[in-house]
Amino acid sequence: MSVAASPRGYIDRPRPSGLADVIDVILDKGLVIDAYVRVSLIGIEILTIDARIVIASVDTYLRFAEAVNRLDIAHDDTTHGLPELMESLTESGSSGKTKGVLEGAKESLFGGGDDDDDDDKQNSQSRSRSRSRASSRSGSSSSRSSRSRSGGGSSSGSSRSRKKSS
Amino acid sequence: MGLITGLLTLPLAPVRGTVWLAERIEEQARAELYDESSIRAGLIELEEARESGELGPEEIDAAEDVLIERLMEIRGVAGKEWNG
Amino acid sequence: MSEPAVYVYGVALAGCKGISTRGVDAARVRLLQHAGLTALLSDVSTDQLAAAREVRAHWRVLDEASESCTILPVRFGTVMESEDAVRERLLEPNGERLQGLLRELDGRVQLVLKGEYDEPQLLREVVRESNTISELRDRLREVPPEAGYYERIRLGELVAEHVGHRRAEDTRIALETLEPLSVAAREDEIRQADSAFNIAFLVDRDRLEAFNQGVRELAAELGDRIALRYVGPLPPYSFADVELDTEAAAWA
Repeated sequence: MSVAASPRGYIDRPRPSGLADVIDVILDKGLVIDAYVRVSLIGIEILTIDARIVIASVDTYLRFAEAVNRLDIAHDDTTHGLPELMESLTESGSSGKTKGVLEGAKESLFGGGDDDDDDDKQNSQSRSRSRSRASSRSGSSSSRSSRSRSGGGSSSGSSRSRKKSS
Repeated sequence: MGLITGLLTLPLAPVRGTVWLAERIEEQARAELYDESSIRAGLIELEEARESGELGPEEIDAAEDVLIERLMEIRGVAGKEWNG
Repeated sequence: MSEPAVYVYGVALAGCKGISTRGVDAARVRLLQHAGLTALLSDVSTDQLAAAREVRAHWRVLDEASESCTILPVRFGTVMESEDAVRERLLEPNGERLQGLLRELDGRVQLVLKGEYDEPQLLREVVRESNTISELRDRLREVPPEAGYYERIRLGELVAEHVGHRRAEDTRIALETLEPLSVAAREDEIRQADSAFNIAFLVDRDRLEAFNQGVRELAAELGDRIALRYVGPLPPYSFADVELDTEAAAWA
């Protein structure tokens, strides 16, 4: 399995991938056999929200309005490192409804703590928008990499350049 | 001035009262909670950390799990209870 | 003593090699042959699983399986009551349909192409292309931030609408370039405001290089406006459409 993201204008071939790009098809596609035999998930309340509604929401409109307003004004894209990401994962926790493995993961990573921080959610949202365009990959690989049982990396090493848009 | 002209040209402008506003604010709050782009960006960053070896595989797995849980909540990925 | 329930990963024709990677619940994955088909299964002993972790297991099992055979992925999280149930309610009543689909998918893989806009650039173009938008934007700049809330929403709405048109156009361009090089194409829904398109293609394995070349050409055509993420080869998750009958055998 492989992924390639184009540094703008150039793309070689599909390259080693990770979860981010396959998660969509894994969760939403595939042969549907029978709804009622689906696995029940730990402590998760079933909520469905149409993605189209989210995209067409007031939040999106205001963001677009703000964005067009700020065009022609120099905008600083700061890189946010992994520690901040990890921090925001523990602080905001989804909606407080997940238990079990989630708590366990938090504890093993950060020794517990469960602060809710709206600002962090807001921040991770706005920086994620610049981040999602910032990465670009180059190089080549056509072989599948083997994965260890404990969840080792799913792609071979390669050099990569980060390109920021502003 | 410009503001008044603008308001007059808004379709449905007179209908946009307090209730409408309250609904839109609620929608906005929900939209933030259900925005997938930050989850995706987080997963991508974790992928890169996995490749760079910045964090160990178990930590990355655990962090990915957090994001996947959230994504599943958003999409309502769950069926009826299976009683084993 | 009742049989354990089984997690179902996917269905293939004969010929899948054994799977060494652990599956859901860290269980061993086994093959069940019936009605000319092979189902990939593993026992599930607990009634609640840590779902997120199992996504990874599900994915890896399918990935390994697709190295040796064409496998049709089953929707994540599918558990059937027993191995017998798989045999009698999934494979037996649907043998022909599934065989038919698998023969169509044989020797073919899924490639996914996602386009993401460079938002500042996109928005600059939008403002340039629409007088309504640029005028409203300019008017708003003269208004203090507390005022003009409704107008800002209106501005954003107009921009969003315009972006929608661009999306449609860019999707059309992508399809125009790549559909001829593929067996089938499925558009997936847009989940992020800065997405341009998200398309799954079914491609013959031996036409893969030609398809890669098409993607390169598309990248050149789209240039700086859109960043592409090109994912694959994957088992054909998005091409699993066949109407299944799981009740028939119960009445046999």
